[in-house]
Amino acid sequence: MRRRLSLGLLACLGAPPLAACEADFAAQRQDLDGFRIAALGVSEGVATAALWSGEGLYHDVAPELSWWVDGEERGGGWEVAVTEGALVELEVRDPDGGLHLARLTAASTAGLPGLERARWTPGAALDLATRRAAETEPLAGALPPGDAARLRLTEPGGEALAGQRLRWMLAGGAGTVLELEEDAADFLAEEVVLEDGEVVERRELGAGSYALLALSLDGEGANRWVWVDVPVGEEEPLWRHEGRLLPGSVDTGSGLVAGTVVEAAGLAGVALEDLLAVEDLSEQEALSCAPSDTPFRLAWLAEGRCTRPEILGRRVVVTAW
Amino acid sequence: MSVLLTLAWTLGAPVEAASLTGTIRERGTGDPIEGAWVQGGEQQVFTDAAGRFVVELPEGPVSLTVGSPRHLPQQLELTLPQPLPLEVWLHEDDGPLEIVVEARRVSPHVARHELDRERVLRTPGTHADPLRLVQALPGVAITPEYSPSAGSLAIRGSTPAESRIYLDDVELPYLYHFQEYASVVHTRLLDEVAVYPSTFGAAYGNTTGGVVRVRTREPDPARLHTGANVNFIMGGAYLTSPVGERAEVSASGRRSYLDLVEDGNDQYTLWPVFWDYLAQVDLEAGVDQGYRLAVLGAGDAYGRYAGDTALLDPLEQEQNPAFEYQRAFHGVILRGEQRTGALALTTTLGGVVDGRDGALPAEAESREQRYLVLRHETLWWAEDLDRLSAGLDLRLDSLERAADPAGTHPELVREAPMLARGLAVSDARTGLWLEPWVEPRVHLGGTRIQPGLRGLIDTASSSWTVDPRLGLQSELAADLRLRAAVGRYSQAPPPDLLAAADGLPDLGLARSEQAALGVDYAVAGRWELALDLWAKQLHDTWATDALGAPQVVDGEAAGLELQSRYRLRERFFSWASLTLGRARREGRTFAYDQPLALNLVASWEASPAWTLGVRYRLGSGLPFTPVEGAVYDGDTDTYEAVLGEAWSARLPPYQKLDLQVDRTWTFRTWRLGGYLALWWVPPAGNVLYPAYSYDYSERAYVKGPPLLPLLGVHADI
Repeated sequence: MRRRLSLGLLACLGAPPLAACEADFAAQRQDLDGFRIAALGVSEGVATAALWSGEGLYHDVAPELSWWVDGEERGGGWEVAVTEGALVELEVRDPDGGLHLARLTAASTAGLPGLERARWTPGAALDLATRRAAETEPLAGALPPGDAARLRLTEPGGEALAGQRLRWMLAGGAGTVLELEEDAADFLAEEVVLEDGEVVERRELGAGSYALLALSLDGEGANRWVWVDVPVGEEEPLWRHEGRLLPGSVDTGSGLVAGTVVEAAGLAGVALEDLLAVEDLSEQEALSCAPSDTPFRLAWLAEGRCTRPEILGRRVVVTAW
Repeated sequence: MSVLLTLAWTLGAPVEAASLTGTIRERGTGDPIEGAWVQGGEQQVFTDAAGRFVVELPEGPVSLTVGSPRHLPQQLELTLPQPLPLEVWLHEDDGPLEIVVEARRVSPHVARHELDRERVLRTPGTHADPLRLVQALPGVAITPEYSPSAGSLAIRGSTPAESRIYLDDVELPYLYHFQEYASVVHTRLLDEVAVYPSTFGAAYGNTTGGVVRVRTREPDPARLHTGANVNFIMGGAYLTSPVGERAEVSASGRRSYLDLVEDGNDQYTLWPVFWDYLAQVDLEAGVDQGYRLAVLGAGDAYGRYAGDTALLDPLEQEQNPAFEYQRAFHGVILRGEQRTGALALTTTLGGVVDGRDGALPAEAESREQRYLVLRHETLWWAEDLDRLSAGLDLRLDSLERAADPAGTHPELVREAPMLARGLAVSDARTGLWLEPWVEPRVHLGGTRIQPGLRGLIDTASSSWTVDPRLGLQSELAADLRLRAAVGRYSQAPPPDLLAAADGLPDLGLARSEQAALGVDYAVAGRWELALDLWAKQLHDTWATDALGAPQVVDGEAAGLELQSRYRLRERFFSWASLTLGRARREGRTFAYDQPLALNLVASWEASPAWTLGVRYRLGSGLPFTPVEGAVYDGDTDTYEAVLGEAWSARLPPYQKLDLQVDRTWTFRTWRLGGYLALWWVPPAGNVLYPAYSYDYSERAYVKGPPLLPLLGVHADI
């Protein structure tokens, strides 16, 4: 999505043009384009970050992280233990040498947010009132071309989020996300150009794999996020891992699925083959970048904890829910 | 008929004579013309004060010529006798404008730049507002129109806060509506706009920068004048009229009107609106005694979204808080003048209330400043002293402020500085400035020497000083004059800066030592040249950082100014000014450093009805503090800029070309004027301010409209 403001001639003439003649930038907040610290949070007393590689939901080269807590250097590594209310500072050197800085007030959260999906058919109007009035149907698999996905984040148990603000970020900047409510947004596989809040151009992007990062903030440091896949096109068997929808047919009743990591095209960068429903982690191989006593998370690959070379060909066990 | 002025009968009355009577009036105003001549054959008569005449001429066809020293002659073919009195309308002969040759003008201030009638009338791009021309004067920084700095008067390397603007000796809170769209005084009531850029005499003080002095016009005691003007932003009207034998009244009012047709848009929740008024009564109490009572005011208001809508998602745009701003001032001025023998006494008493409010939905700040000023000046002409000027400026100041921010709002730093810094403020303070001065003037041969002393007592900062000044002007030849001045200048800190909550309570007087050297040269009154060299040192003055926090700084500035004015056959007029200068604070470039400012103007009066003009401006881009990076704030998913060295980057040079065509239609009792102005700014030189992407990784310049036509009309009766 691109937003641009037309040169408000009369606004420029008649008043302080503080926002009247705004410039158009290639970098848009909702687009995950170049390397970026996409989120920073604390879970169960450990601070960690979501780093977008600039390529897809994977990193081929590990970024270098340095942590400070209340001004005290804590060295590198993927995560750092913090206490409630501490000032957490992070310095990340990306593979191209770029320096990225971030800070956070440590506030612990527990559990990933839940995600509900629905679909609806958009018309010409995309304003808030029209979208709020649209009728939706539950969406379990891929999104039919031309339809829009309605994504709603919830508490882990499915309760409505309260006192949270959401940020939706498009992996690779592909597609358009339009906020709907404080806890929900609509995704369209379209390029939408808004000018002064009005839709001036829409272009279908077609079938394919799209993904988002949904970040929940309370404004005081308690952040949670989840990666969300929105495949668009023909129906194929999909199974769910956190917010991701992965291709393949497997019984997910046990809650754990073992698979072999293979390289794949597109945003995902990897796929899991030789899927097998398992009862425990015995099928999981030891990884240098991740603990072997807990199920592997594909988010670790998306966020930079593990790189693709570190896990290609390895067998991992992930949760299915 | 008894008052008829019949001055000349050259022949005896004809045998078959007819009596022709009539009135001669000026076309465009309807005024009767006194002293106009009517000539038929060898008979000539003149009109009385009511424009009436009577002449005895032979019956039958007759050829008449009618004219006056100020009007174009008119030929009339008549057959006598005429059944009705004749009515003749003469066109005013504009002739050459009243031309002021700078090299011949004597001013009490060694450095003085004035917007005279010639410059005002013949310079395009002013929207008929001469105060917009102040930035065209040498030494005044050029700022892009409609940029955040538009209308800021940075004079000879000083900040706008270091200069003062006076209307009839009472300080105005501000000079322009919004970003220099229009001045706050109706231009039809203006008489003189003068800028004293530095090294001025002891009559002005309490500033380390320059002084802009605006004087209102004394009404025409003879008749009523009225008029109206409108363009696509605002409309206004004025009136001046005699009242009885000894009094005149004048009044004006203007208002923008776009808010009446548009509620708001993506940027504005309330469309910007501005207004101003001025009304005054002039009373002539005697031959050398007069009084003036004036009331004036101006206001600006708008509502805009606090956040940058371009960076917000639709939900956030819907929830984006609206910031409402309004500022207005009202003032009253009472002025008395009396001349007795070798003494001239002028006393001005003024009071101003200046209120400013800024409000977010749950946060607000307010500031109200009231000041009462008294200015008295005595001029005494003595035989062996030439002239002695002495006087007193007194100002009693009261300031009340309140702010209850819930957080910082750096985007409001210009409009609501207390909210911007997130500082809770609730204070009230008063202060008194007392400034006596004395300035004798003596002549030694062709050299005029003007030493002066000016004191400043500031009760708020518990500071006082006496500043010595000296000015010299020497007539080296008939049209060659040398000017030189040195002096010390002091400025009391504004009351806002002395607050403990957000200011520097220990702040004392800012001081500046200044020197200037200039030469004026005129060639046959057609080509005038002026060259000025100036320098100043500043101590303990103040500056604000990007968030508005004050700091005490020292600085220096120096420059060269060149002016040229050229006329050819009274129909072609051109003037130019070039300023080269540098200004630094704490050894570094600062916000208003402009190394180059160039103004070129040419005007051609093609006919009495048509005038064509062109104006070109070029100014170095003003410095700004660049952003060198950003820190991601995980609490809010926003980025905080990492600023580079203060004022170490500079906007691209600003260029602007104005073309203007003026057309005047003259009717019997009124005139209709219109102008079509076109401005063109090369895209590369049209930068208003830098803007950044959400994460400060990209910088782009926000640019104003490159090509803009403006149309305005005015009627004068």
